[in-house]
Amino acid sequence: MTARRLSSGGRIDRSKPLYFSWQGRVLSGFVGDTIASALMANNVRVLGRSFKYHRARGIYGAWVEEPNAIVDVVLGGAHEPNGRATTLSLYDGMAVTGLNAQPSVDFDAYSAIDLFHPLLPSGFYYKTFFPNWHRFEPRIREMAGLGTVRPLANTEAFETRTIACDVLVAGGGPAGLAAALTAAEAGASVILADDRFGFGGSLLWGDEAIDGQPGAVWAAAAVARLAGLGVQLLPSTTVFGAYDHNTFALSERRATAAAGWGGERIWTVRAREAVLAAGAFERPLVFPHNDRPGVMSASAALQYLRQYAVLPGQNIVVVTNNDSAYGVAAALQLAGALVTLTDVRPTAPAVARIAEAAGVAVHLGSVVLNTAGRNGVVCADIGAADATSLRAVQRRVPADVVAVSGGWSPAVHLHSQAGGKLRWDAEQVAFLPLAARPHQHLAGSITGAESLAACLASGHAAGSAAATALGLTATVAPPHADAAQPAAPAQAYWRVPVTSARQWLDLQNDVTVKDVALAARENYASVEHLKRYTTLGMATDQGKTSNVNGLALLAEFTGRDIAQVGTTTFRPPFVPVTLGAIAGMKHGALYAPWRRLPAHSEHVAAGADIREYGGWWRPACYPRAGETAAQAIQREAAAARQSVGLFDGSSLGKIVVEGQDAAAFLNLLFYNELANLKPGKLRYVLLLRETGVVYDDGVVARIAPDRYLLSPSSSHTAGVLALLEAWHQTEYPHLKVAFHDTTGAWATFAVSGPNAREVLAPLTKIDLSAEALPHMAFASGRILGVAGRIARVSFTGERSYEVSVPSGYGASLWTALREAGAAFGITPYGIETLSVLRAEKGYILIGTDTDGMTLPDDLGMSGPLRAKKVDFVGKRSLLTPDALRPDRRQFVGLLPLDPTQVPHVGAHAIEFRDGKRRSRGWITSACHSPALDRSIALGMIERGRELAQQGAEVELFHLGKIMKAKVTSPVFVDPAGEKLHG
Amino acid sequence: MVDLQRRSIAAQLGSGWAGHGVAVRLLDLVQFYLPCAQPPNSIVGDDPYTLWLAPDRALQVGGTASAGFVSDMTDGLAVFELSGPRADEIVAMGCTLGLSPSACAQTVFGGVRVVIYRHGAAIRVHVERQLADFLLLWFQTALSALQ
Repeated sequence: MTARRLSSGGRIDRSKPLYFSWQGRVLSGFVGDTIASALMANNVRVLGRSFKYHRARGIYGAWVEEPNAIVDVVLGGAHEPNGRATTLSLYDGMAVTGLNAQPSVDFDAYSAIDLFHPLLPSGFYYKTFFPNWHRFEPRIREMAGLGTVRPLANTEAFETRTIACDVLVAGGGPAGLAAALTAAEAGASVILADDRFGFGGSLLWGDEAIDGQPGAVWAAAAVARLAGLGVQLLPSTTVFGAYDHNTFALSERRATAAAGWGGERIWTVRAREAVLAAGAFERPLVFPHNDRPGVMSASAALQYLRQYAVLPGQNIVVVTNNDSAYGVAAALQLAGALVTLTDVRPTAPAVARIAEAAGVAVHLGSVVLNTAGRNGVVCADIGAADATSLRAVQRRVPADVVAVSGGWSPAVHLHSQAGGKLRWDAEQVAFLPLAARPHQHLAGSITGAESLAACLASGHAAGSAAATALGLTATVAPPHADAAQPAAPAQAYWRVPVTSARQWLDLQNDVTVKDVALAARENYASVEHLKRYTTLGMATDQGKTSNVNGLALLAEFTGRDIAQVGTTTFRPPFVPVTLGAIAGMKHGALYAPWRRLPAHSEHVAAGADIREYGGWWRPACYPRAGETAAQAIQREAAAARQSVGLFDGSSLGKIVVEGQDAAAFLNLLFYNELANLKPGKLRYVLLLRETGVVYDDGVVARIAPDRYLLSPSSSHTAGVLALLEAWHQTEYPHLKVAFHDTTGAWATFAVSGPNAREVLAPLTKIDLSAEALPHMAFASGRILGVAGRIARVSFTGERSYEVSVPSGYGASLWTALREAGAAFGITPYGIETLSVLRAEKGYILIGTDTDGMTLPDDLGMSGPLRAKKVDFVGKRSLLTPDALRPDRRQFVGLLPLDPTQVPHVGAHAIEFRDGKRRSRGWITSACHSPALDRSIALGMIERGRELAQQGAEVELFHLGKIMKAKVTSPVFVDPAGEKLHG
Repeated sequence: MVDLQRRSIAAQLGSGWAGHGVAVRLLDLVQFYLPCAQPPNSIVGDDPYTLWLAPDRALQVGGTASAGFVSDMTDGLAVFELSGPRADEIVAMGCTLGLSPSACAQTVFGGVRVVIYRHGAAIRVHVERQLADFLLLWFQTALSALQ
């Protein structure tokens, strides 16, 4: 192999050399190189190993279609475990390593596997290793697969953007440029995206002229004009997904970003009209042993020559079934290589003259029958295109590169992702769109255009159509390119008709013609089954070069037309996209929204152990120096029972419901009767889903005849508001009622304990006596000069007052309450402490003690179902046989026989029936009760209330251990409610 | 005992942050929820002005409370104001909507529910007070991405 850098030409900057390492060896390249072009210029042939057989793999393509050159790249602190060498720009100091080889891609010990290839056809893993896959998987995974992710290697953040435009043009080749120019000149707002470093597409390496200028010069002028028209130009940006309503996802790879930010940036673009002009991929022409390094796409060879001034080889054999490779052959010959061209077609096309004039030896009706060479091609056997034996060699020629062109597959991906259908065009030997999707316009190769003139015309037409759809008028004339010589049709040629040697279809996943034949014999007749059985097209290149060849062969082996076989489903992303880029800013502290209490800094100053509860950062408890959280919880709970505690309940929802029909509406929604609630009073309520399942609990206050205040659980407030709106807007729009979520406007603190009244009294003139403000009543008034509310409601079982003021005063009130309670030893307590206090009292926590099956009666609340006169959401579901089963799980208390042992939450109460262990329910809450100085638990147990009456014992099972517990009432403390009402 | 002291969210979190071409401020504005009869997504009036939120709900910014079903949200909603030539880039980073000059929207910004609209040359974002710290961190992070 004698790939070499030419002394002139290319879009590289020879004045700016770059140094990088390949497998530890220092090599050089230039600014403008990709990793692949730099490696090729340094005559590196083996870049990787194939997935299954560990055969040597070299550079095949020049861009995203590349199946082979997947490498590990380290640059500074950044690590790219599966970099596509053909698309990554070369940077100074890059360390590049080949993958999937041990110890290195040049000497891979695993390559011995290739000797056993006859034993490893497609389906080998399924047939051999199942059902014991788990025994083999670790070793197989080690041998196969690609790069290794380094946890925490990349700490960069990624930016995402969403914008709207009139016209998105996907693809900045000649057709895309023509379309963008036409639409932008007509006055549309246009975004033009192209995945290459610059715009122009094939004009950058082609020979053709537009409007009398070299193509690349025209492209540069077009881009300047577009910039002048205000078009958003996004180079190095791949449109990788098409979604509903003309929404497209783009991945932009910027060379630089702000400190700490990744270069990749995802754009979500909503386009009123879209132009799809993504070009086409050159298919391989398949022949025996076509996987050796040196076998590459003909178009790629031309790109390396023209873009990077790298001549890929000295002795080049071009294999083709179409006209496009002739120009490539001529260019390579003129650049100094010795080129032989074989065309499977028997008659010379018009373009043959160009190649022959350049000195290329042309062999018609011929194909490469075989290649040889250990770590790369050294020679090629040429024989008749219809040869059926490897021995039918007509001539053997030295070859370090075999450049293949099996025809062109238009990039229909975006069209298909958007739901567009395809048809097989036998004349063009390609899948083409049946019709463009609404508000999408096709341009360039995807329309079947082959010549530059046709591409430009289709681009102009697409841009005009987009403008017309927007109510604009296209004003510019189409760019002109000289009509090309009439092309000779390509000849469908899917493989050399020999069976004695492997012919590769999917170079990355090692899928050969034989594998497809085997799949067809085993009746995997659907192309989707073929894909999954053989893994054809399932590698990181997603079969950009292999899919069409594979399905054409499936058609041949199953005796069908290609149209009947069809394609697999095209899904986003078109190219691999960094997961972090999709996550965007949603990571670290911004991973999910969090809410803070108005007195957050006061809690922190008080030493709170702040944790997240349902999206709120709340104090779990306030450990003192040398105290564990568990000790703090016991201390705080005891203080609330014995004197007074202070709890921040500001996160509790506060939804105001007002209107002349507020009572009627809430009565329809809530399980409990609310129409007879008197103003100034509170009621504990359940809110059900239509299924009768308890969605939330809370307290409702009636502020006035037509105004209620709902207090949903902290994490359910948004959900309850949505439910209110949904029922009002869909089922009961005739009821006059409206809702205000005022949660954020109020700070609420619970002062709870025997001394609560004494602490609070000096702060307000509101009468706090049991007569004036009994349990489940509230009053409005001033609290230290500020208008607020005091509600007598308790979640601890102690005498409790919830004091609310506008949240701007929250921090000040917290401080005032602590000062006022200092004489009583007022103790701030957190939500973990509250959870102990409420468990002692048998109060449920929604989502902790309840789940998606819990009905009100399971919680012991059956009164409203019997007594409530009007219908309510979920009522019908409460009357089903399942809801009325006597053996439902019911909410009970459990006292472990060993009072020092706290059962595990989630432990099951078990019994043996027919010799089998079965669950009778489970523990939902458990703790050590400071009031009882023993362990207590709450749980949902089958026929629990019956068991509690009997004082029955159950066996609690957890991780193989059994603990006995007595079933009791869930109320462990103050069952008569004397403390609560006192 | 002394009377309670008010601490606005702006006083609590600070008032100004700047990036390349964008400034973010936290404002302390009088706000009320009130019944709504104006067209969807409309902004009515200059000072005070009301923003359409839902079929039965509007947000009045500034002024005093009228009679009827009114809830004082002055302490309930934090108001961020973005200004500068690149403010729209921050919107593109946080929000899927493009902003029209004369409409407001209740939408998701930076992962949280907000009310957003143009106010003169600036952009205002109202968010529940409890989410203000989160959104502030989001803004500070987003500003650091501009170069």
